[in-house]
Amino acid sequence: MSIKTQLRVAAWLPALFGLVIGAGLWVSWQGVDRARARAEQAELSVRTISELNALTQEFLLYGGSRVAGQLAKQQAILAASLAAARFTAPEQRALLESIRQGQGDLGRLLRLLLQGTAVSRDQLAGALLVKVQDLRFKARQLASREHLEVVQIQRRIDNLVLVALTVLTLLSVTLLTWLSRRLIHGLERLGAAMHRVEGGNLAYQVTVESGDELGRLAAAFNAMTGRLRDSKTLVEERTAALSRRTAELETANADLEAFSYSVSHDLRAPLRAIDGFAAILREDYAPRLDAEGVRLLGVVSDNARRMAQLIDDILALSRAGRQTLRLIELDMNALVQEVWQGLEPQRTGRAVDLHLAELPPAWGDPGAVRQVWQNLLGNALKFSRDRQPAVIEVSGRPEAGETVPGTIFYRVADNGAGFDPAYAGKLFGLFQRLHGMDEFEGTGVGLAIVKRYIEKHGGRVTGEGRLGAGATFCFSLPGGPNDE
Amino acid sequence: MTNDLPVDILLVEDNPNDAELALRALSKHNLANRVEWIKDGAAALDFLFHRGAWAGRGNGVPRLVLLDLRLPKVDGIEVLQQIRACEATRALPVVVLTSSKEERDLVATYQFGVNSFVSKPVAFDEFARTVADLGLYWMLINRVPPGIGTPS
Repeated sequence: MSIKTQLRVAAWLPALFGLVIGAGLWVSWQGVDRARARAEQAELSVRTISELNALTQEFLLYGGSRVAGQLAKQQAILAASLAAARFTAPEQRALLESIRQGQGDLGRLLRLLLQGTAVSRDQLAGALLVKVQDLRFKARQLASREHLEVVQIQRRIDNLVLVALTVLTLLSVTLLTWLSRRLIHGLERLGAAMHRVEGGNLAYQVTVESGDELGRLAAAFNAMTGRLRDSKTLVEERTAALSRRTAELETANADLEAFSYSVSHDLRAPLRAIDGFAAILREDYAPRLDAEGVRLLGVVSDNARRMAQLIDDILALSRAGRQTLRLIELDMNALVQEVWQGLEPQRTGRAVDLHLAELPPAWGDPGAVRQVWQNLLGNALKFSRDRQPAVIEVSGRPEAGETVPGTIFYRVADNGAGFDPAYAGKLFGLFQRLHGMDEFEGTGVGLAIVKRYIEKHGGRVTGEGRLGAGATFCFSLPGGPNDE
Repeated sequence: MTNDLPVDILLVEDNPNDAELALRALSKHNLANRVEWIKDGAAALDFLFHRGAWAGRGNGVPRLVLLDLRLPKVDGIEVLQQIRACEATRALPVVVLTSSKEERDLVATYQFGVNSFVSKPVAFDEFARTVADLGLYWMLINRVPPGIGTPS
């Protein structure tokens, strides 16, 4: 039975009981009323009989038609009231029956007395008086019995009410105690289970004891902890997978680092040997070499040096990929000046106009951003070396309409060789070169490094140009620290 | 080179090509006469501390150690540490001459008290110039305290 039904029963049972008691009381009060009515009837008979007694005596003493008429009238009233009387108890019925007989006898005696044909008037008078006395006695008895019955019924009602109240109280208390015990027990079990689960024991299950609301609650609770367990397992699995992947990545990263360290050391030594011994050959055996032999040795040396440059660039790119950025506010004016001074060897003996505008500061890794400027300015110098003069413009501005810290855009433009816009998509690709080796030296790594560093900062880099009309590179950097 | 001649420069280099190129660059400036070339870290330590093959060597402490980092047996950083840990060699000028351009090597060697860190250029003309400059500077220009570079 569900708790809802049980609570309804607990509420309705006393009400029903009360209704039954009320009905019982109503029936009993009806009985009291009827008994009272019967007692009053009996009293009326007593009064009528007393009246008959007085009239009989008056008639015996004085006679007369007025008294005779009244006697007849009272006799009729008594007969009517006795005929209407209804008694249920056998004793009262017997009494009533004897009173009716007595009344019949009295009627006959009175008729004889009124006709005046009696043998002896004194005998008749005596018999009449005795009869009346007897009748009055019996009527009184009847009335007192009915009064007694009223009292008995009332006592029964009192007992009934008392017993009913006791039973009702006991019933309510028992029912409510049982119900509350069940509820409290169930709730306590659930509470304890919740406490355990909250404490981390997700495997804990509540035993479902019944099919009622508490049982359903326990089942729902078990289902909930089941779901919790599932998601915890999922989280654990994913975390494990994630840490596996992290470990793999760390291993891969360590391998890469060891690899690049080894490249840095071991790949350079043979190149140095190639270049070195080619140089020694050139120096020591020059008299025995013709011009072609010297040229071929020069090719060997050039290639050794190109390979050395390639190794340096690849290592720089690899570092750009692995490096963790250390972000600070950068004074771009100072940084660009410093890089420009470092590029001194590339512009000695050349006419170069640098138009350096006031640059807003940005948020970035100093080493990385220095490398970006170095590659972009180095490119600008390299590709404008045939211009007289070479013009390089550097400027920067915060993004229009952006809120602080926003994004800062920087721009490097030159009037150099430019490039065919058809190949703009290849500009930032690794080992992608848009010029022949005999035009401009290079490894095709510089702009890939720029792109990698700028994207690591969350910025973007674009390049545009036309063949023979110079190139312009724009990149963006955050203007301030991220909220992350 | 005999054990009795004093040594000015100790060249610790496992790559014979690099060693030959370095010796050639030094000899061009007449600096190669008193150079001892040793091929691994353990032998370098034996030489400096007069042990093993160099037990009883009577020519004191060199005036300069040119030290590669990647060496067989005992690597360059370990050699540097041991040089700095020993009383007799604590003040000895040590120049790391290596192919490495890695920042971590730079940081580590300076932490252990290197006097100079030089990356070997790949181009031979640059390499020769660098080695010659090093030799000239440390042999002719630089001054060392007493006890360094003198026979004990």
